[in-house]
Amino acid sequence: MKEPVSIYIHIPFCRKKCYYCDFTSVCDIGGQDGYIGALQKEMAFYRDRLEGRPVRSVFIGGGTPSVLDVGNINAVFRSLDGFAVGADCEITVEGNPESLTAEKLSCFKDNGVNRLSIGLQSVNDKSLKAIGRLHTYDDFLHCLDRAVSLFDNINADVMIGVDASFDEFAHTVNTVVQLPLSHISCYALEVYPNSLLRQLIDGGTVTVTEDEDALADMYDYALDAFRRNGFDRYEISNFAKKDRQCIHNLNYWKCGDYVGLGVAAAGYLDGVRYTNTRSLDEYLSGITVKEKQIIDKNESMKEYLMLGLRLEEGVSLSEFYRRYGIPLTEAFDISCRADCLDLSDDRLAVRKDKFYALNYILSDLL
Amino acid sequence: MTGKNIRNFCIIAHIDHGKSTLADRLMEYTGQVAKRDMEAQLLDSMDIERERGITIKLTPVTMKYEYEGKTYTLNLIDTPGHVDFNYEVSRSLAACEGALLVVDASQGVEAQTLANCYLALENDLEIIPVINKIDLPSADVESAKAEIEEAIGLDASDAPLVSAKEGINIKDVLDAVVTRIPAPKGDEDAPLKALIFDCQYDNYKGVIIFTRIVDGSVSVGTHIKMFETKGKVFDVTEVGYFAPAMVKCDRLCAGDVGYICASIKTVSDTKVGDTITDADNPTQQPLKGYKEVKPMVYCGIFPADGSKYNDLKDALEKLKLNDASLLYEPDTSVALGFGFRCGFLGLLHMEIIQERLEREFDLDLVTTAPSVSYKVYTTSGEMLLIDNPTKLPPATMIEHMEEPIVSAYIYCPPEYVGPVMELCQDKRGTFIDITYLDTKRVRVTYDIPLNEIIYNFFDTLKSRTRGYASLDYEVKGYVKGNLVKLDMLLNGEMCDALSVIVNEERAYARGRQIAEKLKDAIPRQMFEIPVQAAIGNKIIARETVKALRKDVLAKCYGGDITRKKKLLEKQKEGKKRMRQVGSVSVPSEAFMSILKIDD
Repeated sequence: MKEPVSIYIHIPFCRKKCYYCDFTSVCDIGGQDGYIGALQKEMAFYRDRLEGRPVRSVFIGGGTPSVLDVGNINAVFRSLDGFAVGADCEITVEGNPESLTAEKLSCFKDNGVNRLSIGLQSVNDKSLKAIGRLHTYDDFLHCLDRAVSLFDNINADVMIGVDASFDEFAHTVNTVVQLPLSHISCYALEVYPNSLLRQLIDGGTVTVTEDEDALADMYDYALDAFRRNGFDRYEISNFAKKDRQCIHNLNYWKCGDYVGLGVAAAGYLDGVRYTNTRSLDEYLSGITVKEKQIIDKNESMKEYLMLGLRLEEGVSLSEFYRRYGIPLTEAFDISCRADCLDLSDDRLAVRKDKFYALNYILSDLL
Repeated sequence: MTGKNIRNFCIIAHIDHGKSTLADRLMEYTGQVAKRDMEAQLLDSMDIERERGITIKLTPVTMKYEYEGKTYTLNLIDTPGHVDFNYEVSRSLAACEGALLVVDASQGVEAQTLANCYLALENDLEIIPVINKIDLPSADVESAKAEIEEAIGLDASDAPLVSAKEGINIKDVLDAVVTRIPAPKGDEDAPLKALIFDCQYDNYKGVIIFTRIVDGSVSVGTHIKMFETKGKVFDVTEVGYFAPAMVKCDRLCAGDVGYICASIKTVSDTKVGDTITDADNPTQQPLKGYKEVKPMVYCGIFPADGSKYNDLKDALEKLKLNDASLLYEPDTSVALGFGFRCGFLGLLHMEIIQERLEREFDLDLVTTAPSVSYKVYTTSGEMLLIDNPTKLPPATMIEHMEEPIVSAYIYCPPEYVGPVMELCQDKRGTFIDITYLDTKRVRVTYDIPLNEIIYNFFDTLKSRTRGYASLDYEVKGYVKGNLVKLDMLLNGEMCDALSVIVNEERAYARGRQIAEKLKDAIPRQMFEIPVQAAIGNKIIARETVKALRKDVLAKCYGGDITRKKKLLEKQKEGKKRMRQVGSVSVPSEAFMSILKIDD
């Protein structure tokens, strides 16, 4: 049987860029026709190259994929038809409350989408406004109402740090766990040095939480509240109800192959990591791959550990041995951070209370 | 014959009184440098010198000047103005017959000028007062003259009145150099006798000796030897003079100032102050040379990257070549590894050397807190000179200790006398004198322990007087002090590179300040790190670096693992540059941060 593969499709359009965003997106929604054309060419190339490898998951992210008009949405899915997408394939689309209209939702549903990821970030309108989101919490609720009738696997993104106080964040957490969701992604806000958000914070217009301890307290609080409500952590920032873990994300952490399509998308295929150009103009002119790195065995072992330790379950020692022919404990000196790791019969995992300092641990291990 | 038309002179001036500008003007006037090629302050060839507006190294230059139909060779040897570089001054004086004493018409004679002037008089130099900055509205030529006559006892009646900046009356200065400074006395036919007053290292030519020929002559092919490095003979490959760039010539004769190259590859073969002679026809008596300098301030210098020890060693060797006052010896620290214990003439000297090492040799350094040299009397009746806190014997073996005291002269406008005296008092100073020099200037004199001066005194002085105060000091002697060794403990482990010797009364405040600084400079780690200050076994201050709780970065957008890896690599690199003190990783900046403590 052929090795399964995942597909990521990047839609770089947003109605408005959030102040914290450091990612490739443009607000010229009218330019989407040309982009979809270029995307379809790239899809055709990889369709041939994959030679029928079964597709395990598809993730359409952005940007804001829900700003695509129905015609373009259909066009993307028509191109997907050429891939070996089976009935059990997880197909996720990201969207924002203001653009996930009833029409778009039905369109996604009709095209086989079975998982929805909605950007919420906070239930406090003050916080939403501060970071430049276009929707209110009410807008989100309406959107969710529309979505639950069509989808039974819905994720909401919330962010640690956008709420200026612990109490506001606690309110976000306690509200979100009551919603009809199967999955919650909970990432920390990163304020990049050159972002608009940085300027707004420095200028005193916007208040967010940046203090390390305050952020850690919020994370610990969320972890506990999520767990009590049936959302178990399976990865540092991801929480799911039973059997609702995101297959697409797990594939990243388990070093599976995936094709990245679209501007700025990244892929990992047949031992090569690649990143597409971040320039929309270049992408439209047919230039796609900008950076390539061949992952040799040594590098691959490092990645396996670096990514696998993000998972609550950690990495499997026998799986590591099967892949690389060397015991993990011989490949890495794990004793140097024994204070942060749990080693059981077949698994190496980060101790639960050390999870949020994973980078420090990794920089010692690798 | 030749010697009669040579004049060797230097310029003595206080900082900012316009010495370098005058030197530039002299060169321009004699056509040594075309005006369009003038780069302000030519003789200050080091970047640091130009940036700080000070002269550190003496730099010679040869000029031709026509006077009453005869051509004269004028050799100007620039001198540094700062107190730390007294030693350099005496070196240039030894190569001259005369000196220009530049005095700012608006400010009069400064203490340091006075000190250098006395040095010049001791060397039997003819001194020509020159009154500069006459173009300033605040210029008061008559009181400047009066001050020169009173303070130094020189006749200032026919002193040239100039503005170096505006180029006014420069000719008067050159005429005075020709007519008033005596020609060198040397005998061209006697055996070669030449003074090494400076050296430089050139990758192609080897050591370049800066020399003043006293007797005899030297040309390409002369076999030379040095008095102090007996036995070794070198063939001269090139001689020349400074214009101010090096220009080759056929030979250097008695009275000349110039340079000699002789394929000398080993830096230690030439010693500044040594006498060169002709190996085939040696002189019997060497020149007096210089007296050995004694460093006043010490600190440890370590490469930030431990593997660069040899680069640091080479760099120090090369700096030592033209800065004989720099002393160093190998040192090891548990925390910092292999490095050097260095001795400096003063704080500025220390700063300059550190900066030159970093700039000219592209080294990243970690320096330890500066220390002075203490006299330690042991219970067994010995006296030890200790300049490194880690070498201090245990307290039980110390009978008592003495520390150096300086006379500190602080010049400031009258409205700052209060803050200045308060600062001196804070720094354990003993009041000596206060003199109102004129309506705008006061000199406050205090005796202050040198270890207080080297510890942030100057910066605090500047900030408390909005930059108006200046400081001169000279070492007065040693007095008994109540001194203790203050250690810093990180997670219970003593970090030798952070130890300092302090007055016991100050120890508590200092310990607390250092602990606070370290707390901020040491990044969080996986465990809580107590930062403690201790005297012996007694903990006197404690701070805590809390355990790291969060460093995970946000979303893996579109599966961009490469970006995540790069960030991780960066973090790893940062960790590699840290030093291990027991279980604690300490960044280089932490060692440096304790040097900058505001009082």
